[in-house]
Amino acid sequence: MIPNPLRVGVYGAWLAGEVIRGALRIGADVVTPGLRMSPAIVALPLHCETDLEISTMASSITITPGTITLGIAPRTGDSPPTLYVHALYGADREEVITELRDMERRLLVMTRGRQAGERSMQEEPS
Amino acid sequence: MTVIVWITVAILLLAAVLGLVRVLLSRDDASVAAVSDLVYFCAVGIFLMVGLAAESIVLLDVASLAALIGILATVSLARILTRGRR
Amino acid sequence: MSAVLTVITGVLCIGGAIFVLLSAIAMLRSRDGLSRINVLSGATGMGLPWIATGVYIEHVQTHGFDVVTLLKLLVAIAGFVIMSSVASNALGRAAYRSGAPLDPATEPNELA
Repeated sequence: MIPNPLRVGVYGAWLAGEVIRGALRIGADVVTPGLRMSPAIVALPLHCETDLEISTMASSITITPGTITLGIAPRTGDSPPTLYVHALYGADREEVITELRDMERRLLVMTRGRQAGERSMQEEPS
Repeated sequence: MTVIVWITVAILLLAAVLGLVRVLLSRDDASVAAVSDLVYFCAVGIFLMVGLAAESIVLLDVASLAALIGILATVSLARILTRGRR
Repeated sequence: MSAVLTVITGVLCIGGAIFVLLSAIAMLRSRDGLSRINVLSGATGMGLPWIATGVYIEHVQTHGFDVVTLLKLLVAIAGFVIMSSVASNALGRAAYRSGAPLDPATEPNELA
């Protein structure tokens, strides 16, 4: 299943903006005195289903400065596929999860189309 | 043009030296692997800029090959970190 | 026209180098190995693609435009982004599994 090239372009442009934003955020932190980093490792259950979606999500998380995927747990029984994400600014767990959910929503819109993507984000991953 | 090339080379060299200072200060294996990646990419950038000054025509071939081959060094370092286990 | 292109080349090359430098400073100041692997993606995801694009613009200026070179540029950018993120995934996983010392401030740690 090949995603719509237009949607791939939209997602790529958004991701490039995120990479610049993350790099500048880290840059602004490290060139000023004092360090606000407080790393965290969070588990992120995914709405993604296919291998393509999961690996694209893992790579997108890694390429954004400030977050990196440490491990991918495949679907086992009832638990959804889960990513373990190391976040550099993880003092607020909810904020990290919210940003990753936004990335996942955009990714699913790219692979499944707007309506199906938004719909699958409505329910909790299972 | 020459000015741009040398400013860029100077910044990249500074970045590589900062990475090496990091290795000297603390040498846990994960940091060394990260710094080796950084130095590799600095070297690619410096090569591209010096080639630009020399008006070489193979620069983009080098850039694409370096981008595709860079994974090998990192993955082998990852295997070394885990002592050969996956 | 040529002056404008030279300015664009300069912004791309020096800007890309500054992204690499920011990664290096972050690497110098962050406290554990995983954070250092983490901040590397600023250099590979933005720094090197910008430098490659600057080199491409200069190449077009001196040698003229052709499709093959543009294709090489696209391969280089996609390679830098995709390869470095896959490599960082592998490296991060290996670093965690090899028991690299973590920043004691790592909280919460849901992989423990």
